[in-house]
Amino acid sequence: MTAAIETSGLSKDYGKHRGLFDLNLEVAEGEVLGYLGPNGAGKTTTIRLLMGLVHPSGGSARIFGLDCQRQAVEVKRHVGYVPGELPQFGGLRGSEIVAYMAGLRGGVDEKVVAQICQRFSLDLGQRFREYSRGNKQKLAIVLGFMHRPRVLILDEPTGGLDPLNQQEFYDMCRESRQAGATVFLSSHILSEVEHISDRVGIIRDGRLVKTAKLAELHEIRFRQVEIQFAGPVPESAIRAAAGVDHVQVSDHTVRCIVRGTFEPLMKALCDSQVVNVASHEPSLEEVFLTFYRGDGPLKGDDIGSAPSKT
Amino acid sequence: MFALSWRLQRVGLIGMTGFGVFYGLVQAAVYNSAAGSTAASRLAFGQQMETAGRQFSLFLPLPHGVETIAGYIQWRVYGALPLLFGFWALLSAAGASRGDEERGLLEEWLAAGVGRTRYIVTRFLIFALTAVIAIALTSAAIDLGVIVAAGSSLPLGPVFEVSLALLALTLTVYSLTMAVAQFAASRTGAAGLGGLVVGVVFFINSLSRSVDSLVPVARVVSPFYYYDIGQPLAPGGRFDVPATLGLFVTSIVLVALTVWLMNARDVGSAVIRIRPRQHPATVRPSPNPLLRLPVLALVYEQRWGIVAWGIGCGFFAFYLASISRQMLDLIRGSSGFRIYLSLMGHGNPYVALTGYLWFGIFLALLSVFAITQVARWSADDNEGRLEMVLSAPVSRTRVVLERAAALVLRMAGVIAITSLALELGAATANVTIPAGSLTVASLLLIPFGMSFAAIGAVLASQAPRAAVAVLATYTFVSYLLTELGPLLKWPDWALKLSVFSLYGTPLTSGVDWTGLWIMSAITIGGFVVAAVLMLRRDVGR
Repeated sequence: MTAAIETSGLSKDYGKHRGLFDLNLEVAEGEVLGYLGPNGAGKTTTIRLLMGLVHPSGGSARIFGLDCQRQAVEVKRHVGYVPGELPQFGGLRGSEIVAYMAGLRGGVDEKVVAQICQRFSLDLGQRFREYSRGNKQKLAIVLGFMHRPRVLILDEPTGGLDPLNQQEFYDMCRESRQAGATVFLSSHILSEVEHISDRVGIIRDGRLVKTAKLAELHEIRFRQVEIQFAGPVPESAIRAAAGVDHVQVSDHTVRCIVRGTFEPLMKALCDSQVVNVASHEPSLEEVFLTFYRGDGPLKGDDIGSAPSKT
Repeated sequence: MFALSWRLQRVGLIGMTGFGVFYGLVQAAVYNSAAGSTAASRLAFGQQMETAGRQFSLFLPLPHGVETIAGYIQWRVYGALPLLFGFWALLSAAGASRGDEERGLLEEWLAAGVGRTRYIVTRFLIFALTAVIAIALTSAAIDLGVIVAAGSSLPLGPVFEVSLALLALTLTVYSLTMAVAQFAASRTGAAGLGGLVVGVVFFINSLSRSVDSLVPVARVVSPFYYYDIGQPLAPGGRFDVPATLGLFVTSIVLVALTVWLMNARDVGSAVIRIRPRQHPATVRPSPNPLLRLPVLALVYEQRWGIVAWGIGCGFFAFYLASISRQMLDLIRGSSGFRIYLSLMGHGNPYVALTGYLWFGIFLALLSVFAITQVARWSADDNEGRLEMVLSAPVSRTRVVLERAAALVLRMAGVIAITSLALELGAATANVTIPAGSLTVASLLLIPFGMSFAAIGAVLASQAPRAAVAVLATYTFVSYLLTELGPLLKWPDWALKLSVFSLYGTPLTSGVDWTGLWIMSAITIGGFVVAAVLMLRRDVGR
């Protein structure tokens, strides 16, 4: 499969270790990449570089082989963009904004505009300043999707949308993908990425920590285990068990994290009287957080090598 | 909150103080230059000014005792400062009462436990503090100017009294605008509604100077009336204590009214909620063909602004043209003002004076219009519109060129309305301005305005956040160079630093080709540089 989006050593240095550093990333044509990271990680900087809005300090970005800086105009013929911060259009009506942007872009089918508006129940007759936060976001989505772009670059696109409209948006992304579009979706909401992404890229402090298939990310999940004993806790045996981390003991209860198989832990318990065992699979959110926490049980590098069996 | 409010008011304080100081110094110097140094020349000057001043009673109080520098300063400076400080108060109050709300600052403060009463009172007190500083420094600068020009200072007591009256008026305008702003739902609406109310009470007082039947009305509704009745600096003038005290009390009452109104309304809405006009729901883009053509779309977006500018400037053009005949007769009889005859240009002196009076002012207004457009370009960047435009297959060069093209059309609209009003105003004074000359003079305004815009485009491309302040400063200095330089006999090289000097006097002397070429070069060069800088810089908030 050819790369729709390709970055090579892409960097934007804002100083004081802020910005984006040495991003090497490929998004295949027709793929949906979820681009995850906390606030200030560099997601929006990446997107602004792809859109040619800011100039890189180093490296390059290409969309369908076109340089995002030197061939920015040509690139944007193929791209639909939903910005992270909504532009302010003041007293213009939604219909006027769409007409203006359609005039700039050319080749916009009014029927597509109407279809998207109907899906989101968006009235274009209202003035922009009268729109609620959610309706402004819907308008931004209309502007991003109205020309049926081959690449969608979406910067936290569901902010302000209610759950029903979020679902509608996910459906639209899936449909776009089925129609062959490539989607680059920036988000800090894992469930959002889980809904529609084929692959996830995780960014932290301006650096890409990990790219993985969504299924792969599920596999590296660890489990949180709580064990209650009738008698004394075999603490030393538990601590010595392979794959067991973050052991916390209180009275007759042990809480710990287990990576990989449960066999070493079970062996450590075999001589003790266990009253109850509860195992809890962390949400992807918790897995995600461990990527960001420098002092967490799993570092980014660890995850790639973590056993996949739980 | 006190510290933050002070910060929000700081820029206005610096700007107003700077402007007031400069204005005060210059006007004091102008007196010495125009009135001469002998008692006889000053007496003659005073008599002519008293006659001439009546022509400007729409904007300035009636002059008294202007043969003395104190009387002149009372009329020419402290008569004009209410306009200046009133405008500042108006904009500050609109910003404090609705601008902060629009930006979400008010919500933050309310959420932090600040009550609405405390919010309004704090904003008022901070403005009062900045007004005290600005007025004190302005008055000090005026006195300094008088010392330099006349060798003796103004009497301290009357200066203090007139400053106090100015402060009382400024605070009244501020609190009046704050109260009125509660009936608007946006900063623009507050500034517009406040401007309307303040403008009405200002002009009721102005008209009452020549229409006696309006005096009772002015006495009831206009704070400007109570400022006018005391003229402490004029010979035989007095400080009207009850009037000034009344203004202070009025401002406090209006603050209380503002608090009450603000407590009665929801955050984000007006006291009286007007149901928005129902607009048919639609899911289709607007069929308006203008919106499909980017340059025309930019013009269409600002259509009401163009009309407002056209009407405002047109009214002013009509007024000045209609008094041109009387003004020329007065100037001819005044030795102090004969210098204007040499500046006006050649040909029919009535036409020349009309051109001199109007185009001198209109150039300044047009440069302000250009600044508002540059402010819009900067806002495009800061508010994300530029980012959205650049998300379409549109080059940055095209953005710069489309902005320039749209501005030419907007300026042409304003100029056309204004020139028509000028012709009509001149006709009422039995002065016929040749259509050909007026057309040439009007067309030349476009390269003039565009040269300011081009400088602004460079600034907006390189440093959008600083563009307006830098361009406004350059415009202000340029204007003063042109208007006051000849009167104060400043050297030619200094005068040529001003873009205003490039326009010439086309109504009577034809096209100043050198000026035209330079303006064209600035315009083309400026937009080319703006395009290059735009290509190089990062876009976005």
